[in-house]
Amino acid sequence: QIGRSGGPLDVQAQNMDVFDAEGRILLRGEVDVIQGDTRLAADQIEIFYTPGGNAATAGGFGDISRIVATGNVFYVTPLERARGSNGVYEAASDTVTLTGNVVLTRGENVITTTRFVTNLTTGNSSFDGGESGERVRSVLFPGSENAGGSDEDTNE
Amino acid sequence: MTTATDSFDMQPPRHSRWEPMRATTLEDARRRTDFVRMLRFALIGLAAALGLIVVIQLLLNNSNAEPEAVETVGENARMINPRFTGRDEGGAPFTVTADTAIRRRGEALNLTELENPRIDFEMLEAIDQSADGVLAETGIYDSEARTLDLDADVRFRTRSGYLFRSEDARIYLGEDRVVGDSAVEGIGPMGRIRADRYEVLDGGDHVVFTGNVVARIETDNASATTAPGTEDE
Repeated sequence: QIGRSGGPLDVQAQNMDVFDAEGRILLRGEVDVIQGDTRLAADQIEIFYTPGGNAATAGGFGDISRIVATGNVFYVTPLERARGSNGVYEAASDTVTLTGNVVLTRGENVITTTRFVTNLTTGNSSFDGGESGERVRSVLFPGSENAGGSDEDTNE
Repeated sequence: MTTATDSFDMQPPRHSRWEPMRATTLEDARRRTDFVRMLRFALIGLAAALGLIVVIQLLLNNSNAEPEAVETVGENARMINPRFTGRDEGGAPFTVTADTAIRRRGEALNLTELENPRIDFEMLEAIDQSADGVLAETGIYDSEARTLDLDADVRFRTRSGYLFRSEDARIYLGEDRVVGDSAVEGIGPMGRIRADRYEVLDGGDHVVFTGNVVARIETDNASATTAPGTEDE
């Protein structure tokens, strides 16, 4: 999933390669994935499945285990809009992680960092310097609607 | 004393039967010579004429470049319940059948037009058995290139579980590959796809959709596996 609402992924792209035996889908060229009220866009997005699939097909498509986005990654939810160089969704931890030059805007507030992690189950988000150890910078407007945000955000 | 040879010389020579006949007079000899010379010229002339005829004949044949049209029965050759068999690269057999097959006069002999083509092929099969396994309305089978071009209402399913509906498809029977250059609608194990073109490779294990791809990917994998366009949108 890329959003908290679940449901199918509506995808648009220029190319779509489906590797049945590997349980993998490769989307390239202005890729735009929408799930409910959440959107993930990038130059390339790869979707990995757990092996298996429903009985009617011989394909290797169980559940989505991982989604990897590379190049001009945008992650947009009703509350926030984040941009980075790479993005990964991990089903095991139900988290979306953006890395590279991450810029996150929430209302009027802006946060720049090199790693942004949001947990789709708890709604918690965290920002840190990642490997580069760069400091997190943010401009927060106390009066703005989302100053505190409806979630517990942590700056590490 | 006279010996045998002296008496022989004195008498006029008598011709024995084995001695060659000599020309009796000079006139006769000249006439014979002329006759033989004339015969020689005549024979030489005849040989030259024959040679000339052969050369002309060869020239005529070459200039006539347009081969004679192959004569077929009536306007086109039409076959009922045709059957074409062959093997793919892996050695797996394939069989192409149809309601009728037409070979047009003057067309290459390896091309056969088919009506309601069907196929028995490891990589794919028809979608709904109600249509008696028909893949498309028309097709063209190329026995040399081992390809089957399908046109108009093309429907097929790959063994790996993909259903396709398109307006054209080319099946490379020798390579387990299918290519389609017109809009395609399909359902796969992970969801539904629409695109401008498609290609099915590796016997169906690798499917490529190209151009304005729009897909709905199921995440809880209750993916529908009914034929495209046969249920409510």
